[in-house]
Amino acid sequence: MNQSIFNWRLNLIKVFKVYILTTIVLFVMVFALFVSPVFAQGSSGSTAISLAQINLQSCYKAVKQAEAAGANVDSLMVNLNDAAGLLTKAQLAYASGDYISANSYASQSQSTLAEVTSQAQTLRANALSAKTENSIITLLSVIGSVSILFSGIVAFVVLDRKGRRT
Amino acid sequence: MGLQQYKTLILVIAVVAALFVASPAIEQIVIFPQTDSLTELSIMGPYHNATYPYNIVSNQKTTLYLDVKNHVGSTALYLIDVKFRNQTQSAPDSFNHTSSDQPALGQISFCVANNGTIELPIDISFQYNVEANNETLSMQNIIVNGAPLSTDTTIAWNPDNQGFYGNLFFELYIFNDTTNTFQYNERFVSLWLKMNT
Repeated sequence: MNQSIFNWRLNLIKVFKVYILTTIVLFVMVFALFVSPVFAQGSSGSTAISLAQINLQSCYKAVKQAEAAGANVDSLMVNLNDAAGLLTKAQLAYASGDYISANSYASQSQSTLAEVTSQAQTLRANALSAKTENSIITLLSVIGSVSILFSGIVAFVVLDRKGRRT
Repeated sequence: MGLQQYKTLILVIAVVAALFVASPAIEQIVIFPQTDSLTELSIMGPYHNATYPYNIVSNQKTTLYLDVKNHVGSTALYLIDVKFRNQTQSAPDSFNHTSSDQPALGQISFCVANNGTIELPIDISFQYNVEANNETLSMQNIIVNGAPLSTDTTIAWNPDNQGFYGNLFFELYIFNDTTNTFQYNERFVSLWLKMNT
C-alpha cells in the first residue's frame, strides 16, 4: 500500500516537473518575444536621447565660442533650435512611453547637429582672423595718431620759437 | 609772420586729426553701459495675452505660450521642466530661490540668442476622473504637445473654494558650460486650474 502511494507521488512529481519546466520555457519565450524588445527599445531610446543631449550641449558651446570670438551666429541658431525642438519631441515621446518615436526624434536631432559644430568652428576661425586684422588696424591707428600729434606739437614749438626770435 | 600766426590752428588740426586717426583704437576702450544679466520668463494664454485658462474639463485642449527673453550677454541654452502638483505638494519658492521637488513630467530644450526672444507654444490637456465619493480627483495623464505624460497626482476636494484645484507650472533651467549641468534659473510661471467634472 505504502509502496503504491510512494509510486503515485513519484509520478505526480515527475508530471509536475514537466509542467514546471514547460511553464518556465514558455515564460522565457514570451519574455524574449514581447517584453525584452520593449525594454531594448526603451534602453536604446534613452541612450539616443542622452547622446543627442550631449551633442546639443557641445554644439551650443561651439556656437558660444564663435560668438565670443565676434562671429555672427544667427545662421547657426536656426539649426541649433531645430535640433533642440527634435530633442524636446524625443524627451516627451520617451516620457510617454513611445520609445520608437523617441529614438527616431533623437537620431534626427543628432543629424541636424552634425554640421553645426564644424560651421561654428569655421565662423570662429574667420572671426579670430578678422580680430587679428582689426588689432593690426588698431595698432597702426595708434602709431599714426601719435605721429600726427607729435608733428603738430613740434610744428607749434618750432613756429613759437621762430616768432619769439623775430 | 608767415606760418607763425597759424601755429595754434596747426596744433588744433593736429589734435583733431590725431583723434580721428585714433578712433579705431578709442572704439576698443570705450565701455558701453552694462545691463543686468538676466532671463525673462512669461506665460501667455491662448490669445497671446493675459487671459489664462481657468476652468478645465477633462480632455479639453488649450494652448499656452511661454516667452523667454535672453539678456545674459551671450547665446544661452535653456531647459523648461513641466510640472504639476496639488495644493499640498512641493512648489517652487520665490523667496528661497528653490525649485519644486515634484518630478518633471516633461522637458523642453531650446536656445535663445543674446537679446533674443523665443515663444514656445504648449498644447496641453488633462485626463482625469473623479472618484465615486466625489472627494478625490485622480489625474491620469497630462498631454503636452501630443505626448501623454502619466502622473499619479490626486487632488482632494477644496471645500473653501468648492472645487478640485491643480497647479501647472514651468521651471526654467539654464545650461552652465563650466559645470556642464543645467542650473535652476530661479524663474517659474504657474497657473492654478479648476478641474471641472
